[in-house]
Amino acid sequence: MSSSGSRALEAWLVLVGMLAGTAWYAWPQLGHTIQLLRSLIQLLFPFALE
Amino acid sequence: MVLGFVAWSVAGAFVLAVSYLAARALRTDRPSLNALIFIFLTILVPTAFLMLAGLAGILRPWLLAAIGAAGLAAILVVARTRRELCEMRAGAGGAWALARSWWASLPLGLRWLTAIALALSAARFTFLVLALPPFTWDSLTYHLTNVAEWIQRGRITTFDTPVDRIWSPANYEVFAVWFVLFLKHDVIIEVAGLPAYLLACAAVYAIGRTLSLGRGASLLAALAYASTPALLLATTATKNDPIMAALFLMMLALGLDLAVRSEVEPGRDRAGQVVVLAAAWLLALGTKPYVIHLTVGLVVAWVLAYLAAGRRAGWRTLPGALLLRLRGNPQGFRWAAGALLTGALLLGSYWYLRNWAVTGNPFYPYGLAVEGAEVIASAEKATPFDLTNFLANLRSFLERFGDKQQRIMPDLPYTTGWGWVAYGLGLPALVWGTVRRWSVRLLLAGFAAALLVLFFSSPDSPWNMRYAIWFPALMALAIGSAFEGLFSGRRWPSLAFGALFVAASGANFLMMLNYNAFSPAAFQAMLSLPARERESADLESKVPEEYRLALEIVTSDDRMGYNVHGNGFLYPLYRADYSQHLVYVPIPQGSTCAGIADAIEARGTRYLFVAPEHTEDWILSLLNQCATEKDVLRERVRGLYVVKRQ
Repeated sequence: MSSSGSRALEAWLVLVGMLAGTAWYAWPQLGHTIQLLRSLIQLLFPFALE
Repeated sequence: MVLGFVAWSVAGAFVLAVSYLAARALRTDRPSLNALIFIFLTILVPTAFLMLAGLAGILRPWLLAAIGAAGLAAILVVARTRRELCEMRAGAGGAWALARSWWASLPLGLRWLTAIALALSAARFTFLVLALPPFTWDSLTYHLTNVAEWIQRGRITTFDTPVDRIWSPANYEVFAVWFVLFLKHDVIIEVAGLPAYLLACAAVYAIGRTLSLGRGASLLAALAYASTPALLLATTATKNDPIMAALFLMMLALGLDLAVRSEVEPGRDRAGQVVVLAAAWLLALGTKPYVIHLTVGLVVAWVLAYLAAGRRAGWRTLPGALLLRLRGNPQGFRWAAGALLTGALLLGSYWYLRNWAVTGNPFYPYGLAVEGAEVIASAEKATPFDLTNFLANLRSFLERFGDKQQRIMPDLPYTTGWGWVAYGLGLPALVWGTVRRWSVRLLLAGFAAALLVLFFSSPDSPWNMRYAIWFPALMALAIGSAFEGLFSGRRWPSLAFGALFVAASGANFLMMLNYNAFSPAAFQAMLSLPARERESADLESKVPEEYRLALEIVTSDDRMGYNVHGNGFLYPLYRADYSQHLVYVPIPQGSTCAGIADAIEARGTRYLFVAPEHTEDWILSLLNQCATEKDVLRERVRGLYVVKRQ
C-alpha cells in the first residue's frame, strides 16, 4: 500500500475509534442529556408537552 | 450602584494600565505567549491590588477608586509610562491587524465553528451568571464566606467561625472581591471564573503552537478543551479549580517554549517569560497548595521536551539575558519584574505565613501524614501522603473513568467531568498520538506524572477529580494533533471528523446548560425575581428552606447569631448585598437553655439560626427542647430561635 493510502486507512481507523468512543461514552450521559432537553422544551414551550 | 460602577471603572482603568505596562515590559516574541501573559496579568494585578488594600484595611470602593486615580495620574506624570500608554492605541491597531490576519489564515469551517462556539458560550455564561446566585457547596461554606466577611469589615482577616476552611489559601477569593466590592452585591460574582477560563483555553492554544501544531489544529484543541463539562461547570460556579487549571496549562506553555525553542527574534529575549512563570507558580501556590504536586508533571514534560528537542533549546542563555535586561532596564523591565515578583511573593506566601504565625501550622486547618505518621498536626483532617491512599485514588479513578456512575454535576461526585469530546474523540486521538507524535508522548508523560503524584496525597473522596480538570487538555491537544496529521486536507475524513466534533462538543454544551443540576422550575423561580433579588438563600434545591425563612424575619439592622458545624453553609445568611451581619454562637456540650440564651445575648443579638444537616443533630434536639419549654427561647420560624425573657 502506498504511503498516502496507508495514511488514509489510518485516518479512517482513528475515525472509527472516535465513533466507537463516542458511542461508549453515550451511556448513561445521553439519557441525562435527553432528559435535560425535555425539561428545556417544557420550560420554553410549556404548551408543547401538556 | 451607578456610583459603584464609576468607582469600579476608575480602579479598573488603573489596573488595566498597570497590566498593559507590565505586559509590555515582560513580553516575549511569540504572540500566543504574549496573549497569555496579558490575560495572566489582568488576574494577578487586581488580586495583588486588593490584597494590599485588604491587609491595610481599606477595602472600600471609593478609597480604591481614589488610589486608582492617583496611580493613573502618576503613570501619566512619568514621561516613559505616559509615552507607552500613548502608544497603546498604535499597539492596539497592530494587535487588531495581527488578529485579522490570524483569523483569515484559518480554514473556513473552523472559523464558523469558532464564531458559533463563541456566540453560544457568551450567551450561556451571561444567562447563568445573571439567572442563578452562587450555589456550590465549597462556595456557600467557605470560599464566599470569606468574601462576604472581608467586604463587611473592609479588611482581609480571619474571624470567629466553626468553618475552619476559611483559613485555606484564598487568592481566588481575593480576586472574586473585585466583582462584588464596587457593586456591593453578588449579582455578577460568577464572572470571577471567566478570566481563568479564557487563560486556560488560550494556554491550550499556546501549547499547541509551541509543539509545532498549526494555527487551525491549536485552535481546535483550545475549542475541544473549552467544551469540557468539568471546566464549564466550575468556571461560573465560584470555584478556584479553573484558575489552578489555567495556571498549570499556562506554566506548561511557557516552560515548553523555553525547553524546545532555540531561536529568538532579533532584539527580543525570553527573560520576561521566566519572570511570569515564577509569578504564576506563586499565584497558584496561594490559591491551592496542590500546585506543588502539579509541578512534578510540569518538570517531567519540560525535561522530556528539552531532550526531544535535541539540546537545541536556548535556555542556557536565559541567565545572561535576564542580567542584561536587569542592567539595561528596557521598557521598565526592572520595575515590572520587581513589582510582579513582589506581588506574587505576597500572594503566594501570605496565607501560609499567617497560618503558621497564628496557629503554628502553615497548612491549617489541614495537617500532613506520611505513611500514616502525622508530620504536621491537623485541626480538621490530615492530608495523607502514602501508597494506600494512592491505590485508593487509583481505584476510584478507574471507577469514575468514562463518567459511568452518574450524571456530571458541579461538585463532580463520582465522575471525572471530562465529557464527550475528551472521551469520545480524545482517547482514540491520544492512542494515535502516543504512537505517532513525540509531542503527544511528552505531554502524556507530564500529565500522567502530575495526576499520579496528586493521587498520592489527595484524600480519596467522591469529589476529588475537580483537582484534575486540567487533564482533558491532553486529549484536546491530541485531537488537534490528529486533526492536523490525519484529517486536514482529506475531504471525507475531515468532514466525518467535523461532524463528530460538532456532535460531541454540542452534547457537552447541552449537558451544561443547567449545570446538570437545576430543574426548569428552579430557573423559573429565580427568573421571576429581579436580578438584584436573586439570593442563594432562595435556591431551595440547594439551600435548606430555613435560610430563607430566617432572612424573612431578621432584618439587616439586626445582627444574626448562628450555629453551624464545620461543613455548614454560611454565605446565604449574608444576603446578596452583604447587608446582614452575623455572629457565631458556640454551644458546648452540656449547655442549658438559659446558658444558650445568655451566650446569644452576650454576642449582641436575640436571634440564633440553625439548620438540619448544617448544625449538629444534638444541638437541634436541645434547641427544640428549649423551645418546647418556652422558658427563655422560642422558635420564631423553623430554624430561627429568639431569646424571650419573661
